[in-house]
Amino acid sequence: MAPKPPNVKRQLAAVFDMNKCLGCQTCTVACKTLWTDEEGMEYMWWNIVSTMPGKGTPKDWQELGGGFPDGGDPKPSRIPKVEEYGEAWEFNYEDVFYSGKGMTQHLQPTTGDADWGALWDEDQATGDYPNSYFFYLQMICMHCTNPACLAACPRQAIYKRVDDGIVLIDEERCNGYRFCMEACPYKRIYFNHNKKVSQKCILCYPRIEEGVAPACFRQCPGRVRFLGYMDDEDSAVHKLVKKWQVAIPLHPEYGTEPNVYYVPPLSPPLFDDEGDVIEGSERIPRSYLESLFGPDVNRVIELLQSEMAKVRNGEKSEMLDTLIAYQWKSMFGGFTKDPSTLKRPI
Amino acid sequence: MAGSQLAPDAGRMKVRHVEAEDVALLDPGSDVWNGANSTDILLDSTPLTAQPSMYVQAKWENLEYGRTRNLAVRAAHNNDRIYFRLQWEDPSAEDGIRDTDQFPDAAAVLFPVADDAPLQSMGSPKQPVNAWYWRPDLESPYSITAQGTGTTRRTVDPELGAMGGYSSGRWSVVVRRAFQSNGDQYVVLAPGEARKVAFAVWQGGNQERGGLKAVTLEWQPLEIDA
Repeated sequence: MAPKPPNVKRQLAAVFDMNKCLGCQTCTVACKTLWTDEEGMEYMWWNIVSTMPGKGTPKDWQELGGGFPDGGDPKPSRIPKVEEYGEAWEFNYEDVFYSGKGMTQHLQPTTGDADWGALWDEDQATGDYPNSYFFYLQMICMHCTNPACLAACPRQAIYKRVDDGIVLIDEERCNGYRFCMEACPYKRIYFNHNKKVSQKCILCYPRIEEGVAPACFRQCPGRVRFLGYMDDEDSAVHKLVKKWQVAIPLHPEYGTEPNVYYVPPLSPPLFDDEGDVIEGSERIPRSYLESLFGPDVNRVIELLQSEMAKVRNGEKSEMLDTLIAYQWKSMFGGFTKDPSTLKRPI
Repeated sequence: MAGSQLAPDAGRMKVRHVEAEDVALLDPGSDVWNGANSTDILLDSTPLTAQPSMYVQAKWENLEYGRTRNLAVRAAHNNDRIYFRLQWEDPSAEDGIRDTDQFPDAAAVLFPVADDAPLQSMGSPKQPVNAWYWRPDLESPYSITAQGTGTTRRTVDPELGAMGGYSSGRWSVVVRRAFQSNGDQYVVLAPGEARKVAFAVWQGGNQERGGLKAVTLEWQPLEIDA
């Protein structure tokens, strides 16, 4: 059996609307520059946007196990290698840009075997033109209700904050055993090669404590990311997850009860051999979406389609208005303070 | 028994008194270590049920760990400091952390701070234990204190030192410390005492770390020459 989840008073949760993501990686860079730009962290992407169907980051993480499948015993997994996460290569910038060799050498990595990277299969579609498709999957730490990482640590170095449910690694207690990296079924934990401790997304908790939304949420130009306390009935997160139930967890069968929820991607239609639209068809196979979100994804897609039909008929949809996010600040459950106004900007 | 070399002495682990400089005793290949029989310590895997995390138990249920079964120990002191030379076979030298899934080899000498401290649980809240923990990628060994499973705390003790090397499939490591120590919960030893000791070895190549190790399941008696 899975262990009993840690007690929390409140839980911060997120909703990512996959239909609005541009795949621009602004979130990824916002996180990278804020938290993981030190030595030993080069290969870390606490936030990453993967192209799906694809292998994801680290490579083939969905095949690796971990978690408490269907609420049962912990499932053994393994630690991916750096090359599976994607090595942070060095490039021959000096040669190409400053040594007059720009006409004879092309830009290329000078370290490691450049046969896989964190975004190696970015924008690579599945299926044949004109019926090919892909979509973006936004990944951070899921700040699970029952974190497999926390349960796996023999040193109680991982804890879930009582006041907001954020899952953190205490680097003073961490001995670098990396059982957490194995046990996390979403493979969102990295090893810092300088400090020799495990590290991961902290949901920008120093910002949260100041009323500021995390960097990846605030910086998103596509208004993809919603934040809020799950019990805050005025928050967009509560409405999308609890009231309208239009956002669902990724791989619920992993059994860790993740607190990042997704509005699943809608599809463009298929074309027939004549190049005509096949009415009512969907480019992304439902079976593939079910493999990510479970069978509940069918209900959500039909819900979204019926809301869109309502709007086309001239009716109003508060759900779609919320997802569109006409007011940027409405997305963040009250965490709307501008970080530049803080005494010590974060 | 004093002398420039240790005399052979099979059986109980004795810490021999020897007139030798720190630099000689700290060197596992030094002649000063020749001539003494080493004590052969048999090691076992820590029990799976003693692993404090369900994940570790599930993962290692059918996997072998604690692969090091034989540890050759010699011990000496020069009135100022006490030295343990540990030798064990390991098919691969893991002397650093080069990848996310790679772990270094390691060894530790463990003492009860007061003699009644339990070994298997690494002490208890009122009965601390103190380990001298060597790893090839650390500049100096850690002094580790523990008061029960999962409570280990690493500290840097300037009196603690180590030298180790790997050749022909075998690690040879000397760990030493001054007899006296002022650290909180550090063990204090003295010439002429009869004390207890335990050992642990980790094979990094088998992903052994934390509780996944080869250990002496019982305290071993340790006689320190006057």
